[in-house]
Amino acid sequence: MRSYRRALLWITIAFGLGLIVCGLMLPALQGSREAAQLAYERQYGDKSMEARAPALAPGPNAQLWVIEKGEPTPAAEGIGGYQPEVEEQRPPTQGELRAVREDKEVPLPLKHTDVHASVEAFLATVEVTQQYENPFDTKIEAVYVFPLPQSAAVTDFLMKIGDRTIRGVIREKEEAKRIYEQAKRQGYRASLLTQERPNIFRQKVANIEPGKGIDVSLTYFNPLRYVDGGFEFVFPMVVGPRFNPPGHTDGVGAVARGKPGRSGHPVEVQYLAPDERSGHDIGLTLEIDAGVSIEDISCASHVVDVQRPAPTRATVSLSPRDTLPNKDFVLRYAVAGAKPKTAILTHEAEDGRYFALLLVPPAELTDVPRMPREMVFVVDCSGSMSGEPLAKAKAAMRRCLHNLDEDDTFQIIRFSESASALGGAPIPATTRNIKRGLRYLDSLRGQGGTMMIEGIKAALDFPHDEERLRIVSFMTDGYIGNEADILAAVKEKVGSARIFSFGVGSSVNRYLLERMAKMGRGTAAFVGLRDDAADKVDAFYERASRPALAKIHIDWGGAEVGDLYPQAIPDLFVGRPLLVVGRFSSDPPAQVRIQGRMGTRAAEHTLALNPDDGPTDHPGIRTVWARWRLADLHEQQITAPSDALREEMTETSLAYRVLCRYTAFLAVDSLEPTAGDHGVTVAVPVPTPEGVRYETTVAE
Amino acid sequence: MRLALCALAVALATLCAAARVSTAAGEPYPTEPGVRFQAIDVFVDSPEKLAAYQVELTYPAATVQVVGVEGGAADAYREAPHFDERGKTGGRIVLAAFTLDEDRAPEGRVRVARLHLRVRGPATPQITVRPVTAARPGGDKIDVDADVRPARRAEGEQATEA
Repeated sequence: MRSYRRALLWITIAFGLGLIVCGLMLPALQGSREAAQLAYERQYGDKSMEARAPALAPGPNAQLWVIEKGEPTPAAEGIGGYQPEVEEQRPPTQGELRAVREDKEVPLPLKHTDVHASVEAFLATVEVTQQYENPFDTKIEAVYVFPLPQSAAVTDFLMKIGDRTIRGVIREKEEAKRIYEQAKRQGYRASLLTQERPNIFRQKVANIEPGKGIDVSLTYFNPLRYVDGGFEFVFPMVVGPRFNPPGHTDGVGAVARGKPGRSGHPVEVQYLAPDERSGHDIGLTLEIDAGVSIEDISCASHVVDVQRPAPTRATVSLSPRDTLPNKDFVLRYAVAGAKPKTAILTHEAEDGRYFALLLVPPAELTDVPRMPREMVFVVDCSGSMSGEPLAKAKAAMRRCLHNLDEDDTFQIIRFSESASALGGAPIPATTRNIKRGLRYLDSLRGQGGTMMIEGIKAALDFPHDEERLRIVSFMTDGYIGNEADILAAVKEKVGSARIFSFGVGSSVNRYLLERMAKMGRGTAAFVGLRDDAADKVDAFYERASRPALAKIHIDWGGAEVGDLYPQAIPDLFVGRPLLVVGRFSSDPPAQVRIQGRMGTRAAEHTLALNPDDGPTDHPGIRTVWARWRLADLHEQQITAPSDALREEMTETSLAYRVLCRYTAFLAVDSLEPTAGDHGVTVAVPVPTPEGVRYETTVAE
Repeated sequence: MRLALCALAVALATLCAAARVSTAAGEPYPTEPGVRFQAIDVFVDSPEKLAAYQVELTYPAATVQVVGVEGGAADAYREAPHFDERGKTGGRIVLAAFTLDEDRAPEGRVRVARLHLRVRGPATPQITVRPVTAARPGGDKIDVDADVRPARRAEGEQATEA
């Protein structure tokens, strides 16, 4: 018995010691993996990171960027078309991330973006295909932050591997991230698409093997804007460098290539230095089927080729000479006649009959007399506006000042890190005062941060002249990371003022400017660097000078209508049709009546629907309706956030398969895992937008 | 005996601490034990040319999630089919596709799709499939059979893009 107990004792001790040893090894094993990643990053990070390695020791999920300085590697020969001369044979070291590239060209995991768009009536269907290819000799995860139009309804997601196509699923965001990370860690190819802002998205593609490629496609629907005589198709190509106010932690960081984590913000864009270039280029084809004759196709932003297979159709392609993705693509075209007619697109689905109604303002709105105005110009003088953008803003403002009438008053406010004004209060628009205003304009320079909140306070926080219509005109590129704070401030302070936003630059934050204008019951206009500022300003004055048809009510002529968005119908301006989406419970009417106030008197107009026999059905209308519902809920979230709104947005997004800030698209190829661990994360750096100075906007 | 019990207690305490360290190492999504990824192939067996199909698959939602829907082997169905995930709590998915090219419409037993799944737990998930509808070129309905099998890469099928 005693020997039995002794044996049992020794067995127990041995077992216990074994458990202790295993327990001690576990964190060591974990740490050794992290230490290997750290050593790997310290050795092969760029020179400045290496020098500061102890202070900037990246964590296990840090992004790594390595540039070969003219040391060709035989193993990488031929990748991406590179054919270096082998001057020196250097044996590869364990875990080294290498790519061979032509002189000064930065190797990227994103080779090419292809955009194919088609327009029917006033709705665009756009497919964007991003071609990722690993130019390095080790496995990578590619991460790319890119823009889309702010009203894009992203509804489909495909991952293409060779001739295999995997359609992604939409999930609640945190759940999708969790699944993606698990798939990544287990070596499976996977991709994840998230929405960071209504107009900023992030794509992650995991486990791209050396020399191999994965294509990711997304599809969205987007209603076109009708602006001053023509439809406008916009495809943004680069996120501009955003300023984030001190203390703001949920912004969009702008850092130099190879400096991940420098901004401390959850979303970060890395920018190429002015003397760096990459091989990433873009192709774009747009097919238009307007239903009526197309006239005057123009593209001020890019060189394009235009084919006209029929009077009602056009095919527009980006010229091979203009494929650098550093500015918005903006195409405008007019249709036959002075303006389009009010049109309705419908789609019958299992869960209802959806519609999108383009309300075109009647010509009679131009006959209304104008009120004296209190014009408040707010000019962004931050670093990102330095150079061409500010010059364009000044040109626009000079035109504005010359267009003032003597019974108007005006004020000019500049803001960057703080705000200051021409004077203590608005001054009469006499000849002498206008000259004073022009001199003040000439003195403005672009430098410093973008504390837009200071500009908003300065513009809206002073007493309003009740005898005048206060019109606040913001001139800015919108490069800020705290849009929600700005929009909340505008909503709180706008009162009876009207806001007209001017976006100035090649890649403006259209989401911010459109929402500011919407909250201020005005409109937004955009002046590209190659646009004629004078034309834009004249059109702006035409709108701002005419009191809009306000307090609009739509009489649907007996048709049963519900779930209308926007829920509060905005004012109607000359030259700016209004888009309303909803659901019919009955047949659509042949005409609608819009009732409202034109200045001080009541007005009513009858509009026939689809008088030109253009297309009337579009399968994307259901998706567009869902996107507008999400936009409406998002706006409520800005001013009064709640879990209930979040849940409602998530449910709508999942039910209609439309991406929102609380959901994500995910695709996993579970056929075969790739060999080895998940490799290194590599961000795709982008060029700064055309006209924007790298030195004044990107944190080195 | 007391010494043995002390050693055992220390060992257990050390293991608990180690587990906490490994999950607190900064990873936002710690490894979930028993999670794996698996692909299954969906076949339709048609006695004549298959111009359109719709099948419904059911699976245990508590342990299985669909994480991707891939196209099939036949040219006509190589593109990923559209799908509809039914039910708020999951467990059902309907796949559908069609071809207008009569010459490419396949006949016999053909892989029409592949589901990529995330599976929790060691047990083999029970996936069932039933044909909802199918049609020959011209649109007339036909009767077909359907089944599922664990996915295997067929000869010549690319796993990656070279």
